[in-house]
Amino acid sequence: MQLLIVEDDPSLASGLQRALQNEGFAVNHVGTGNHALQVIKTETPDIVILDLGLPDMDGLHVLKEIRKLQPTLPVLLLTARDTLDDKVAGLDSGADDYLAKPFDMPELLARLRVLERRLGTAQSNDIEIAHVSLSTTSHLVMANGEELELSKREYMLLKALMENAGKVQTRSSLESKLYSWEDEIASNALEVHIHNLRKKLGTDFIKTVRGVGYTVKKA
Amino acid sequence: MKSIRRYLVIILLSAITLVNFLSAVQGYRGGMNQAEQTFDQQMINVAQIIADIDSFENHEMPEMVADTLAYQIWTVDGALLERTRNAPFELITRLEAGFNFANFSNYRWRTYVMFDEHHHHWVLLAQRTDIRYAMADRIIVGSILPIVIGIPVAGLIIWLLVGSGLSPLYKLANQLHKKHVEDLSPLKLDNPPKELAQVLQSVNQLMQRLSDSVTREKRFASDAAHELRTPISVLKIHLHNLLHDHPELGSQADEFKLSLGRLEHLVDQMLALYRCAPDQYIAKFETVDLYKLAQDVIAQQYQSIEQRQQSIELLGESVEIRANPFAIETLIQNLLSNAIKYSPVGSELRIETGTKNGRAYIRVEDSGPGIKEENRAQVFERFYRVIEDTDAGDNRPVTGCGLGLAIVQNIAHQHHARIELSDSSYDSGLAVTVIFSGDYEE
Repeated sequence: MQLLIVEDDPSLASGLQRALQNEGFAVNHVGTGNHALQVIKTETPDIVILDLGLPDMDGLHVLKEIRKLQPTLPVLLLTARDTLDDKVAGLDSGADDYLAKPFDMPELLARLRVLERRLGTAQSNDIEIAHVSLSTTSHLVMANGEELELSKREYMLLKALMENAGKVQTRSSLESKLYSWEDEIASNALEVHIHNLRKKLGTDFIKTVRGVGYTVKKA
Repeated sequence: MKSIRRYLVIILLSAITLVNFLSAVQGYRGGMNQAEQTFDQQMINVAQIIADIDSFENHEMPEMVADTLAYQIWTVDGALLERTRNAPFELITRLEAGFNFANFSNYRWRTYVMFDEHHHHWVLLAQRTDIRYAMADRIIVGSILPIVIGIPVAGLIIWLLVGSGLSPLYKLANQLHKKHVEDLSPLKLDNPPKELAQVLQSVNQLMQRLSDSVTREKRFASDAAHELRTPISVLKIHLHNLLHDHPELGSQADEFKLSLGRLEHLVDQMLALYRCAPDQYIAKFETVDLYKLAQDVIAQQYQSIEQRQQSIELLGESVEIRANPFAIETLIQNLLSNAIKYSPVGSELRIETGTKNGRAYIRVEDSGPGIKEENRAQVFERFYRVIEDTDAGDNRPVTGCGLGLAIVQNIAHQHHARIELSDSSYDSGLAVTVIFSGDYEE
């Protein structure tokens, strides 16, 4: 997995490079937007980590240029700005994810793993939590070593929860993941799917946070 | 309180009354003189007419004239030739041509004596003075009365005119009164009068200077906080790498991590406190669902809740307000993170949204130690920390920077919302309720 870090602070860049190398990534580093665009043209990385505060050009502009060159290249934004507007602007410009400084390394790694899984090139595409394992390539779900029969929506739901283990997924965010705009959603459809999943996985695996949504505990 | 309007009306009305009174007195005097002269002239005429009468045989004076006028005609050798009935038989005044006064028949009279060259006798004419005065009075009062009646009318007109003259001042005062504490935008007045233009200009210059310095202060704090984020990131990442290379440092690094966490938190809170000027806030107002925002914030902070094995519930229903979504999110974040921090491990938390008396509210309840009644006012001050700041669960001092509730109050203030602190519905703990009034301008 080839990562490109576009970051003008040399100390942060070198630290990041070390940390990501320790995690088994191949990491390149450039300090300016122009340099980044050159590298992407000649030697396209798998994922770009882009700092918005660059000395030569605005980070969002760099992002737009990257999109012209490589429409599907995953880009994760890093920024010292963290207001809602900045986030919206970043995601609107085609970023795949957004992380505000100062970030936690585990958080960055988790985000990278999600991008990696999306690329389908991850070394391991299995998410394992407690007695449940989910393979994002074969769409296979195992509980206590036994394969489970899940409907497509149950699988999507479980994947969303397990990918974000330790976080609460709100009802509306789960619903938007499960259904496209045209689908009509019965008001209790989500509950029905959760109920079915609990029957198959055990009642404790998916926890309800009253009024908010559902969560799966981190392993 | 002194009112310029009342003062002006009273002072103007007094001046008008005084001037009117003086001119009335002057006019009365002048009028009296004028009347005297007119009456005297009349007497001369009447005397002339009487003198011109050739014979007084069988002549009767008309009753009315006889009442207020009297005359005698005396011969040169001292015989009473003719008299009106109300005149005595004696001489009513000295035989000396000209005007004089005399008393007879129980009245005071104005007399006029004239020697008739043609008939060679004296004509003595008298007119009752009280009648003269009464007539003069009537004439003069008739001309003064409208002035007296006019004073209240003048008062009313002055009241209205002064009011309209002062209206720019009222407008200015009203604008100042309605001004939000943190609104430093210039005052506006269409066509300000010369006297107010200077005031307006000075006030606006002052506002501008104040606004500039507030903006500078905020920008400085915000810039400083932003600038700190990259070095904090650098520290974190190098600490992460250090621990990766030297896992045996584990416990020693914990203090380092804790301090770094506090520094990070402080920077975040400073940014939240100084983030935007209020006008920017208000410009970004949109429809915000408190319930949905609370859901998002709980989801964001769920890891901290999970870490402390606390359970949380969100009650209530969707309730929409006009607000800056980022600000309200920050408000809920601060209330919830306080609730998590101050509640013991394994305890319960609750957030509720809804409307009461037509007003949207959000309430965050915890199971912590609560805040004593006497400390409740102080907790909103910047950098204030409750002294016995340990949470009930593990006697670990609660880390924080003391800005949380100041931020909450700041945001509430900008949304015209009220904050109520009370006891939570758990065995112990604090309930913070933010009530939105919904009467802010957009």
